[in-house]
Amino acid sequence: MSRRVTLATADREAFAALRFLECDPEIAGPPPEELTISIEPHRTYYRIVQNGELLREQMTTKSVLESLHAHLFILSLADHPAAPLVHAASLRRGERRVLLVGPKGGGKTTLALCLLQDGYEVEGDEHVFVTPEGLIARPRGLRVKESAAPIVPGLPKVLAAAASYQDPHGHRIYNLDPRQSGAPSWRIERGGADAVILLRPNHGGYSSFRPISSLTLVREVMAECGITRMDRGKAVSVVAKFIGTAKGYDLSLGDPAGAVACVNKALEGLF
Amino acid sequence: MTELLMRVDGLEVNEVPDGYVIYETARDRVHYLNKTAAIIFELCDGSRDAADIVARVKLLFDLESSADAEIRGAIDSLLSEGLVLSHSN
Repeated sequence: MSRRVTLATADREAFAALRFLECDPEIAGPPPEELTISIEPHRTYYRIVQNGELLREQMTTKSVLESLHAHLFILSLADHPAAPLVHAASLRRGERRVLLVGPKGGGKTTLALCLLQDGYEVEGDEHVFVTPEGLIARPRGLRVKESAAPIVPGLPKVLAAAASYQDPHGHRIYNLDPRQSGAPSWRIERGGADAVILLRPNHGGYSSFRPISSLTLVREVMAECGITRMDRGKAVSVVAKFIGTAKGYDLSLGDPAGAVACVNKALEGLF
Repeated sequence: MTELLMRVDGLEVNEVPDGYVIYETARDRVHYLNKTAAIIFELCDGSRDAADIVARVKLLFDLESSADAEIRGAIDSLLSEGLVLSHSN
């Protein structure tokens, strides 16, 4: 990553809200550029100031949070301007990396938390940049929904200490550092994928998986890619390149224990 | 006169283990070719007509004459998708 952002405020309410954006993984690579964004209470509103320049003004801490959420996302896109961004969780076990690909609400975070308890290291739960030099997860805390609490053992206790945000639909979403959930470390590295697993929600059912062809995998991953029209040809090329070295699977995501066993089997199949 | 088949210009061809993923710049389209279609696509090098390509694919995969229509169908798909064009010799 090219920059590390520090959010600074003396306002207690703003500080509590900004904890939802807190994220401090170890990232392999050269030291990042430091960037400070201050959130300053001013009269009845907040001023968001970046490197001494006024970025935005917002009336409430919630709108400050939403505004910064979008701003940080845009900054991360600027780090990899031509790279497709795939909806995927990225995990490692030893030297192997597995991507869980699926849309929002497809079960990536919940499965990632289950895998974390099985000894996997979670790099990210939502976005992975595909660059010519390899894949790299976008640094962001895990976004855990309340609905995951009954599924992952021990999670309710962990969430009780985590910062949260209520989305426009009234759902509470938690910001979780993998280390809070028992991971010994949180490290993000650039590299290839050994297995790419497409998630098909089968809530309430059993989990099962099957291998799929690389052509199907490219097609499905492209469908979960955010790219600009200008970069489409390059995006196809880098996605095809990383898929070419990975095994592809389709996982019908039902019971969590079965899903973990399927991911383990998928990785075992590589040896 | 023979109708020779050749790949069109402006295609970005990416090889994956099961075939080709081709990006067509002019129409901003992505095409997915399985292994057989990829071989047919490669044979469209401007020096062969459809009958020659059918014969070569049959030989390569040790196919019966009954496969002719299927191979011709694949050639027609490449033509209709704009990945290959024919020109008179």
